[in-house]
Amino acid sequence: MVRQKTLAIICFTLPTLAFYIYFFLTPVFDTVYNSLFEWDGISDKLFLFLGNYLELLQDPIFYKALGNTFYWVLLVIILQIPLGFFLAYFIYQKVKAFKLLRTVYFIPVIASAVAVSLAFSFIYEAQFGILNSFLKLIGLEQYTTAWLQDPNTAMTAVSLPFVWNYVGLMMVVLYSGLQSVPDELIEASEIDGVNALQKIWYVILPSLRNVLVICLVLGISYAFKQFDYVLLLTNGGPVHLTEVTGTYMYKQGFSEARYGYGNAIAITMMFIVIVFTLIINKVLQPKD
Amino acid sequence: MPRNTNKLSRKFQAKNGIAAIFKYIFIWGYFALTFGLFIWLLMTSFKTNREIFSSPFGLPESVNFDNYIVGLFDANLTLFMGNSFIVAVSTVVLCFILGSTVSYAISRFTFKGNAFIYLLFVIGLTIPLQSLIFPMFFKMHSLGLRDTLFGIILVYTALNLPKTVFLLVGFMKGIPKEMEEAAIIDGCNYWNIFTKVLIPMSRPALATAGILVFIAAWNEYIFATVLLSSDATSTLPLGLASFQTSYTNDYGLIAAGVIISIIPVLIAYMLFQEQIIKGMASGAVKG
Repeated sequence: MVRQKTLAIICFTLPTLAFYIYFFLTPVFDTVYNSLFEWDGISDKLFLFLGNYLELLQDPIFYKALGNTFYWVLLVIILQIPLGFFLAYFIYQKVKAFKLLRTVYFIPVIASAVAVSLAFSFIYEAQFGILNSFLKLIGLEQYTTAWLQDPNTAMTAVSLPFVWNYVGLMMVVLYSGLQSVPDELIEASEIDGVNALQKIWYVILPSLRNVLVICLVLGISYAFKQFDYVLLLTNGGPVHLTEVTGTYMYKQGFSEARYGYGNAIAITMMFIVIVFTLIINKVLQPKD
Repeated sequence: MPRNTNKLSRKFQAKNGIAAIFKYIFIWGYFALTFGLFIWLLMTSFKTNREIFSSPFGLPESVNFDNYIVGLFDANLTLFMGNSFIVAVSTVVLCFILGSTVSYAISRFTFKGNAFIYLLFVIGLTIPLQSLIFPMFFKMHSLGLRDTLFGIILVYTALNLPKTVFLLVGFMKGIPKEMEEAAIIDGCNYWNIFTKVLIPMSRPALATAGILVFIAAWNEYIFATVLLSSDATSTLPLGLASFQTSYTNDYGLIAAGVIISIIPVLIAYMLFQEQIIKGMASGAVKG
């Protein structure tokens, strides 16, 4: 029986584990290892030790990309989470057609980044795009521009699909959090006669603390990994203005054939995401 | 799902006229923004370029399926959809096979290394997957699997395994032990317990994981663009993205492509809404 059990454990774990180690964990270690070399993908690797990282520290474009990525993190905090929260909070109060509303809010989450990007490229299109057509319609023709090419608007234009895409996800996560806020707490506050904003600030938000932490962690990781929009809409241009860490990593590897450097960017991204996750969990530690 | 907002808070809302107005404008405004964009794309997909330029907001002159016919047959969308379908379904099947076996071992047996194996998969959840593109590219290249559907299926399976295992282990841990004990008394071996007891009982978790993996594989773009290079192997997101360059000014056609790519996930979403929403929320909690 014991032998049979041991055999069963081996049979059930080994194939998956072998697959996972070969196709997932080895690539993770390859990334770390290759980040220590200079390599164009063809010739011999040249060992630099931390050379790539030192170069990264002095690379103004990397700082620009990092700045833009943190701008996305900021957008998560000031737009995505608040929008998601208010949508969740309002439909939680059983407005009419709440199911329809929730269904539609969530559609962007399941649509592919390519579809969302193409849709937004239509919005921004200079000649017939919704945005310019609308501005012309209301007589503000002087404000029309090529949104994705204009240096003043490119970053905002490329960030909007990112924000819009995940508001629905934040809404759903916060909605499920709202369901566990005790009714008595809300009732008690209403009897005390607080106004709507006080209720949100003093009663609802503190009860959602843990869920908000989850949203923050989630938002940060999305800000670092969802660079499809930038790749498809502006490819980091004009002149690196909309570069994010993901596109910079991608282009260093596949356009410049600097795989070592690209891997160093990848590891830096991983490192930042993991450190942020740890710090957030530590500082905003869930309270009982 | 408890729908618990109480009478009190409804009374409370009535007192706050301005807040209520703000609330309705906000939720329906956001609805209009999202739904409007979808409808606008749908209308654009029925228009000719001339119509798109002359009346961007207007209704199409006629419901004209030309863009869809051209997209599906001349622009290869049928082929890309077929590829995406093969890739997404195979990824789901492989994730089921590899994920359910290891999840069974992790959740139902106590052995040395049990927690460690689980930890390996949980760590996988925290890694931004896109940062693995370079080693994945070279691995597939050296295996001769670059630009093959089989190669991308292996990659997607690897990338989706952590999520699958996480969902399945969580669910299997909650299945009562008595079920298995009864099966053992009946003379079942471990394989029978797995196939006859655990798998049928885990159907809800398998459904959730399956849908999430399907949508992820159906939508994935970054790895596809790196690993696949010919028309014959292009998946839908890749083929659609190529419209931007090959049909630059054919806006109606691009809109039709976007609609075509969204329809299958939209149907899946309509059918399994609760499961998708719950799965994404609980996956998000750890992912």
